[in-house]
Amino acid sequence: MEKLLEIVGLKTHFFLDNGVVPAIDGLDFWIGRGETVGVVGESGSGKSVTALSIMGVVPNPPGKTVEGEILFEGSDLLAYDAEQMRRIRGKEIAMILQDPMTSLNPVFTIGNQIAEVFMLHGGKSHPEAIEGAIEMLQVVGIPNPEKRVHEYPHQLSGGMRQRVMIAMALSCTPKLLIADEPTTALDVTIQAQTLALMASLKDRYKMAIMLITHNLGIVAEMCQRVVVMYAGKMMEEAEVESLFANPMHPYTRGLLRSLPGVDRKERRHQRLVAIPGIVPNLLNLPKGCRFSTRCEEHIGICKEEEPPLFARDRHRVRCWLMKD
Amino acid sequence: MTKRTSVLGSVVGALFALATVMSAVTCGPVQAKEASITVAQSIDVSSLNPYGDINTATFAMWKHIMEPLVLFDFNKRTYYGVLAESWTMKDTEYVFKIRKGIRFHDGNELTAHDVKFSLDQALNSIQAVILKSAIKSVDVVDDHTVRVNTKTPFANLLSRLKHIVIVSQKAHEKWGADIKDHPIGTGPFKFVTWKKGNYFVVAKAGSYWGEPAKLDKIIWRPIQEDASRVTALESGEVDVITAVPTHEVARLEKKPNLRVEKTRALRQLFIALSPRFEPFKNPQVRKAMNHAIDVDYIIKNVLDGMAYRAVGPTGPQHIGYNANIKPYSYDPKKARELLAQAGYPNGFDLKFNSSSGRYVKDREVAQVIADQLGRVGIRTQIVFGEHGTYWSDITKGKVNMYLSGGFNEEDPELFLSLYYETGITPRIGLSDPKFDELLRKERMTMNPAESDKLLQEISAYAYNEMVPTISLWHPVDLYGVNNRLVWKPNPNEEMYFHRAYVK
Amino acid sequence: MLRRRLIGILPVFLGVSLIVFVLLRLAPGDPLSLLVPDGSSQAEVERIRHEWGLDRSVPVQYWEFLKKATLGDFGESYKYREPVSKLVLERLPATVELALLSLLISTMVAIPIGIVSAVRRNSALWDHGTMSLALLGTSMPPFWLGIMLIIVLGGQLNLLPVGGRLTYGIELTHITGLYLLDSILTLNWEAFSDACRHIIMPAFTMGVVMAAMAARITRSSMLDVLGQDYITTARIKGLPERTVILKHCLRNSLCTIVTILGIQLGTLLAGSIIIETVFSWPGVGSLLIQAIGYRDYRVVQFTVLLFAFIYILVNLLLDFVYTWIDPRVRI
Repeated sequence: MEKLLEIVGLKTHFFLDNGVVPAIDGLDFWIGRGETVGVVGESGSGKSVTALSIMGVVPNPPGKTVEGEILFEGSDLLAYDAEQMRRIRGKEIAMILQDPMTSLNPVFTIGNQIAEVFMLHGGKSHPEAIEGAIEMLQVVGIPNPEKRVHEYPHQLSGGMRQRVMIAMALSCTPKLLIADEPTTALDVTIQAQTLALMASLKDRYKMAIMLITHNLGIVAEMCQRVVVMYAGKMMEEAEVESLFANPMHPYTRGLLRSLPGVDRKERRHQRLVAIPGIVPNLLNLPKGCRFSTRCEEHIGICKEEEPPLFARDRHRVRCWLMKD
Repeated sequence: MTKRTSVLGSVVGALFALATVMSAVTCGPVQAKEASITVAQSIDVSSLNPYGDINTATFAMWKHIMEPLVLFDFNKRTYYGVLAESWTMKDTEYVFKIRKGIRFHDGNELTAHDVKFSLDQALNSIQAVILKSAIKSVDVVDDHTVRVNTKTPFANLLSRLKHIVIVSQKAHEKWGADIKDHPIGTGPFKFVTWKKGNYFVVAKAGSYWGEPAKLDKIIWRPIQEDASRVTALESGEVDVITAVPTHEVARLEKKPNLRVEKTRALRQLFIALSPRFEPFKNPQVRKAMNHAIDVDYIIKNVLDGMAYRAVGPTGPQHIGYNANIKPYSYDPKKARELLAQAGYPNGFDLKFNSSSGRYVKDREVAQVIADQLGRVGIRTQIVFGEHGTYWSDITKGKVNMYLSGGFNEEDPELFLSLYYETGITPRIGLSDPKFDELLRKERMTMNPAESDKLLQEISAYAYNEMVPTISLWHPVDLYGVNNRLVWKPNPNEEMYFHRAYVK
Repeated sequence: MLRRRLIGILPVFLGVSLIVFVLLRLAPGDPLSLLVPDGSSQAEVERIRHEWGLDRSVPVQYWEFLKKATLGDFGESYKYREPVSKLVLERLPATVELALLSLLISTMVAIPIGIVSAVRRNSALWDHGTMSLALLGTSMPPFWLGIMLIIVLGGQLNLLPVGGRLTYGIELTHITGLYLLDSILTLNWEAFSDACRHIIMPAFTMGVVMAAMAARITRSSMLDVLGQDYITTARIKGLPERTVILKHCLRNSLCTIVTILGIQLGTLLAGSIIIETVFSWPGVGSLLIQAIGYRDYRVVQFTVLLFAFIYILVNLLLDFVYTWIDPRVRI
């Protein structure tokens, strides 16, 4: 498969008054053209920062990408100047944010906000751009688009607003869509609708999606491959069926074990198994493997040296247990 | 980068625009070839009615455009006729002969009818108080003779009349209600324009019956802030300023193009002692207080020497000045003795109302006085008041001991009447039949020499026996003047520029 | 909604007029002692007391005042013997001109500085530097700044006049009463530059003090907005940073900024009293302070009501502006 986006050795650090937080501390994975890759992890694992790093909008100060390459269609985005990056954002790579209630500008109409993208990247005039916006609203399934295009965000529900975000993101048919927890803030029923929409649009526009989420259920439904992140590093990467059928990293196994198993009879009456401990303070990482403090299967070397990525059965796993 | 440059750009651009506008006028105020001067004082006329204001500064302004019957010459110390050529005073009849051939600025000749008209106008205006107690009626005898009838013989009438300027009856008839846009007089200057709060301008009149003025224009500007006035003088924007703050005098005098004119004011600062307050009922107590205050010390140390000690209600510039009165010595021991004799061996407690900021250094003066009184056992509490409240209470007779300034009148009769005479006002509330009698007699004495003698007797009596006040000093009026202007001020704070000229 | 607001204004006026009325009469000192000439007879004083209506009880006086005020008659000034409305309104253009220019200067300075200091947060010069200046500005008493400017620019450097609105000798046709405007309208450049030279110091003094507060509030409002998600959205759309700041950010900050303008109007009106006195500016503020000194009740009453009216009117207008800026707000 042709690599659309490849992240090599990415490190994004936050320089605070009391220390440096290595939010992403050496990340490698890639997304193929037209592929949907899920990026999974707890809060603080670095998934959102990955998205911001790709888009080049890490808040600076205090954050900064200090090392690595982000290759998009072969070119390193980190080497781009502001103007070049501007042309990528919204056009080649688009992103939708987590909370639709706050991601739209309250003082401009949704039509104007979508039209902005058309005018900026498509060179269209304002009336043409509004036409485009109406079309996009139709595509994302918002009824009465000619009327809605002149409305303000506060006049729409949460689900509708997220559709508007999607419309805005897809206006210029980007090659890659980064969706950062796109359904987390929505009702369960709306979640399903939104995901269905994203799936159909993906087919229609033939675009790759980087789906950031902490919800393994969504991953199972939408993704082809999965990347599991923990404390700023990738712990496991595999194709989705393989990951669920055969999780290799103790963290991945812990995650899967902690899902309530409503579908499997024998698990219905079992207690939820949580992973003991909490995510380490990034300012004060443990020596050796960062998961070692919570791992039930750790061996001696785990507390001494950080494991590299081992390739096994078409997984990549960062765990000493995988060493042969 | 673009953000910064755009912000810098807008700020610089704005400043540039302003600078360009300002540099459009590279020179300062227009220094005309004509001989004009600008005078800055703190007040303005309130309207173009010469009878609409009753204060020294505005009297002086109007007297450039219009003229009264008589004025007082401070050098010769007599009244001289301006529009009046001569006069006779007998009993309750004052007959004035009006000069012939004087014309108003609009060409009409001045007649007795104009004088009667003007006096009647004044009697119906806010200036009535100057005349009403004296004048009963005014008659025209012939075209150039006017008779003023007084209620009782009133020798001081001339002092009152010097404030009343004469306007044209014909002009009033012609313009009706619009007369206020045409203030016409007989004076050496004519009215040019008035922009309320901005400037009041007069220009040399085309023709004048007397010695013509030497200045082409006079511009009065009201500038209230002391610092602004001084700055305006220094920058050359104005040529004369009033009320120079005492701490600026030395600095201004060092400038080669400026001088500070100092005149001994007619006004007298005093402290009133009302017998409404129990201890003040006894004249010995009042005398004791006079001995307790070291006036010379205060003048030297608080006022930087800018005052002249007052001894009695009159000073050397007043009519009827008595040079022979001995001032109360500064004698705290004697003060204590007098107090003991009066029945206050341990002194007493006292409330002293002082003005604050109205007279030069009044706050500091009050504090020194309180301290000096304290040394003889009079425990003094000072109460400072805002002028409006302060003055209201005084005129209602609610204050028993207060600091005040007197009047700018060369004739002390008005002051003596309002403050010392029984029953006229409650300002002090002293009642002395002998004094009343002397004052009544003085009013009826037409002969100036005799009336002078009477006033001297009154002054001595008031200072030595009546003791209704503690006489403090005559302040020094300070005028900042540009040396290009040749001019001397009067001791009554009225600034006349009739004889002034520019070098 | 609007009609309700307009009706709600009436009790405000009543309240203000009542408070002013009562306060004036409660304050010590009375106009008769101050305005009736020294030496008038008691009969004369009583006559004037009756003429001014001060011999009646305060509630009766208030009732008389209200009756006449509703017809637009606010009486004559005790001191000037002229109708109060005429006296005050003819001085209003001077105060309005000064206020508008001060506001303009303040806005032109404060808003760019506020934006830059927010965008360049924590920068030594653009954030800490400008905010320290702003702190200085709010701490400086306008009285002091005004006098310093007069002494330095007027006195020592002799660049600008120390007072008044126009030099004697400059002619200007009166159209609106705003000299800058009138001189532009009549293409009278000599009068324009003269008027500029007179107004620049007082406007600058007022403007600086107001700018200081406005800059701090602009900065804080901008910082608030900059942290919002929709700004991130704007960036990831690929918009140039300048558009993000000036279009997406600023528009949202405007609500707060406009609120500040409304409050600053109050500062302007109150400040006009000091500034006009220091600069011998013939406006309503200097008239008011003198009238208070003389206890010219009618002038004070009218002026205070006028200020209240202006304040209410402007804030109402600003409310309209809000609805135009932020579609979530309905008047």
